[in-house]
Amino acid sequence: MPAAVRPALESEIPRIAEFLASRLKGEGGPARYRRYLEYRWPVDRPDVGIVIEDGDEIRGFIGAIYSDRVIADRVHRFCNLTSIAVDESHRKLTLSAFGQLLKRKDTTFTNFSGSEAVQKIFDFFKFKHRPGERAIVPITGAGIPRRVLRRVKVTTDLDQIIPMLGPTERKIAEDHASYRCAQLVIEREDHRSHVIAVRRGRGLKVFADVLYASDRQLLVEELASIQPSLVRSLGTLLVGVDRCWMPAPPRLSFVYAKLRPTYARSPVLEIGDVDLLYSELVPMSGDR
Amino acid sequence: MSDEISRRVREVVAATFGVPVESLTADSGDQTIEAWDSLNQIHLIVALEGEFGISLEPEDAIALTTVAAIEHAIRDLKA
Repeated sequence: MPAAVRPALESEIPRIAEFLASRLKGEGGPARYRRYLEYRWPVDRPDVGIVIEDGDEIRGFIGAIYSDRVIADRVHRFCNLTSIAVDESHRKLTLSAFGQLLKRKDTTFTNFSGSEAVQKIFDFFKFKHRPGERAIVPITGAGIPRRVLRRVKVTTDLDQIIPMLGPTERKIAEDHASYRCAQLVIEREDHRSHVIAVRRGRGLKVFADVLYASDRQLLVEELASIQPSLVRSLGTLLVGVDRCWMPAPPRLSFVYAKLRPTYARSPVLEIGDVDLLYSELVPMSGDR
Repeated sequence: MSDEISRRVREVVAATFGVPVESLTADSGDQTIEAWDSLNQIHLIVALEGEFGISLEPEDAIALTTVAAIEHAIRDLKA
């Protein structure tokens, strides 16, 4: 019987996780991949990805993390592609596997972790991409917190944050509440930014990676005001901000260019609209 | 015209996968050519687009997994 390329079911997650752990060899073993695929935000998920199966053996997998998000008053279906591995013997089926997922034309597909080979496949399927560069800002690098100079309020208690937010941001806050994400709200005069960050990196390069800011300009302007909160909640002395949000990084900062590029294909959204929420980076952060 | 398309397709396939052009038949493809994998298939599509001055949608191109299917698709596009 020829190998099959088909949607993967939730009941198959344990054996898929075993397959991924043996092929991708990331830290954390099968539990790491179970965590990615058993994400907890509510969404009607049609599958957990696409599996290539030969006989009773899994020979390839493309993970799919779904979410429904409101952007500019419109609901968008997102699918973050993650945990991609195909045995060399079955790579003639890789394009077909991607094709099964990508045939959904109403979906915005994203990827933040593709290898060079996978990036070539995304290029083939006409994904757009931008560098995964972060401006890494040390705690002393963003200058004097402006809240010393004028009225800036930073709220970090999730119980206080959620009532402050409108419906769209509240859903984001609640969907990420069970994960070890730092959430805070910056308020300055009439401006407000809901910010979500996770701890990333290792050794001396551990940093608070800002996955999302509802008002990116306010985040950049008030970075010094939120750094103490990020130190407390994530234990990091460095903050990483998307380089595109911060064209002129402050003094003492540096550009970290080793993260994988952001890839996206969308029927309506631009790549600049894509943030890192609802992706494998969230369950990767651990539980609150 | 058809023979010309067939000859040029087979030359591109042979060059992409490193196989003798004489060994190719209409049924040659992902099931018979050992070097056929996803990246080489992408290289093949790019080479065919260059050779014939055509543009293939990726969702259509992934179905082109035999010499016969490629020849058929190119004849349709050139018709």
